[in-house]
Amino acid sequence: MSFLQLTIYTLKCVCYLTLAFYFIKVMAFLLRGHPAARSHRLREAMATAYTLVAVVLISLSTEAILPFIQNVLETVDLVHTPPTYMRISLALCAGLVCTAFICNFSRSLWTLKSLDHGIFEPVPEWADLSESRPRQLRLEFAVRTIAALLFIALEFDLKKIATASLTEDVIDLARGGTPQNYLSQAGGRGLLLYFFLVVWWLVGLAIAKKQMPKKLLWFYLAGLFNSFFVFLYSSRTTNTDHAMLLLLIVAVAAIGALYMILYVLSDIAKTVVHSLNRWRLNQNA
Amino acid sequence: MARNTRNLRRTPFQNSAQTLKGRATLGQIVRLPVILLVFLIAGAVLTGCTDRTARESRAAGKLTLALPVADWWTAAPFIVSQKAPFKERGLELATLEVNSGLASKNAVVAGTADIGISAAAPLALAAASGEELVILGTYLHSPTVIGIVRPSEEVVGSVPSEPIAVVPSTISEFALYHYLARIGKQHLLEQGQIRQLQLKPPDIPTALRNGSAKSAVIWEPFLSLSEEQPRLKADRTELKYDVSLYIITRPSILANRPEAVRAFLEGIDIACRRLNEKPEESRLQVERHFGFSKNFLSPTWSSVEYRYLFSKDSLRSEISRDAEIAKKLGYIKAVPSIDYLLPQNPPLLQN
Repeated sequence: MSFLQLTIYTLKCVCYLTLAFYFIKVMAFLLRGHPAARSHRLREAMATAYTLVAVVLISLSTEAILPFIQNVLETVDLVHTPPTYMRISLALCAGLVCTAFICNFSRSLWTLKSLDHGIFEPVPEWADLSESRPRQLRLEFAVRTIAALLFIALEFDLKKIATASLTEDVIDLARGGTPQNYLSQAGGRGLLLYFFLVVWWLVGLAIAKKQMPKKLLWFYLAGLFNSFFVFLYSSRTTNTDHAMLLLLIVAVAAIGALYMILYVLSDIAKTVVHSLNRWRLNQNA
Repeated sequence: MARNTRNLRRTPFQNSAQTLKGRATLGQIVRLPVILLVFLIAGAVLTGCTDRTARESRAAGKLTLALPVADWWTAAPFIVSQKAPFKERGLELATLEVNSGLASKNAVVAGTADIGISAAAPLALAAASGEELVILGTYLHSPTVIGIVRPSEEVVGSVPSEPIAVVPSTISEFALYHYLARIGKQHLLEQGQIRQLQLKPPDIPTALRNGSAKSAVIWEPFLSLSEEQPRLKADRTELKYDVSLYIITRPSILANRPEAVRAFLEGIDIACRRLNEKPEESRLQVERHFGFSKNFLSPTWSSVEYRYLFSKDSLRSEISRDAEIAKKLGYIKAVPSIDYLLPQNPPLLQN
């Protein structure tokens, strides 16, 4: 196994780990209830079914990492033939961007589910605060619904990227059409999604004031930048100028992606550490 | 109510100790995912290990081939044989889809693929950069898979209308230079006096359709697909640019996994033979695969010769030709020695 093959395998593992973690968290919520939400155990068949569908789509989308990397490298080849080390660095950056994209979908599963029950972990009084501000609550609900819709649409886009073949481009051309560009579609939808998430954060700021976590805003802004990167580079008429711009922003996009991945992984790590502490306390008791 | 509000102000983890008796505590809820997660990771690791052990127990193992799947002439042996000759030799062949031979070569160099398929132009550039590659032979040869698409009214032997769409650093750009040199106009390209539009192969027919490119030098099937548009014609004989496809790998793959490489070469040899045994049936199969109309491939199918070969002399001559062009185009400063790309002992000798 080469270094890049190993890296791509590791990135896939990170995606699966994140997905498994949030999936189990959501399922535990659905099946066992949640004390902070005054429980709703075994009442949400629709939400359970949707979660299962989302898990299948997100897990399929991990197959998009390699085509994504390949696309970035081929775009760079249009402007320059970079040396091997730069090619590997670009592949790593592209892999990080795609992984961050996928990991955030897994995280969104939990965020959307808990918000439906008036729980927003960083702001313990979220339910009371939002109920005391009905206008902001209505706006928050509207923005959250749009984000959820875009979230579902993006899952399908990622699945298409993962399962599409370059042969389809030829089939489309042979039928007199134009090759589909699923990556560009996903980038465009990602831009919209993160835009609405930033709007949601601002509405949340009106509800929770200073309690609204600033790190989350940086997380969404990093996602917005990464979506811009995906949208920009994968536009069909990639020419020399596009490729040059891609080279300029790929490093920045990778830093944003790394921040997103670390944010998600730290979320997992915190939960694991807290659980271990509780377990130790229970053992001692 | 006051109690609920107080509880909510605490973190979920602080809350867990004070939940009502008989209901699941938050600590339990959080613990459950962790336990299940540990099981999942353990399962994944065990599955991975078992899978790896199973793979290693097979004779040849797994190789990833970076294949330009959209180019029917490149992919035909793989479409017709459906990977059966490789499976028969215990080789699990995974495919990484790429758009060109350049991308295939780059995937092998970077390590996202183990085996690649490339024409001479990217290999000439690779040799100049000293990239770690080994050529394992060729499996097809054709003088007509690349051509010029240009407005119908243009005269043969003239400079194609600008902007000319090309795929940079590939046979597309090199064939354009070769053509211009034949008509004595190579200086236009050497001095950057020709407007080029550098695109990926599937974008070229669309660029010609919407007028952002006026002509193009491109390979099949994008050549024929471009020709179907009104007021455009394709010429396959004007370029006189022979194309061979080279099978390449990294030296480390050849040194560490000679059995897998041998299985791949034997597989491709068998696939080419099967394709040659039933050429018409194979052509129809490829046409169906791409959704082409019947006989779409007839003009070019017979001009592609599928045969596994390892001939150092012909490898040297074709790569040197493209290295000369690369130098003229300013990609490299000197024509490199390509001997290091050729293995001392080819894994499969021609029968």
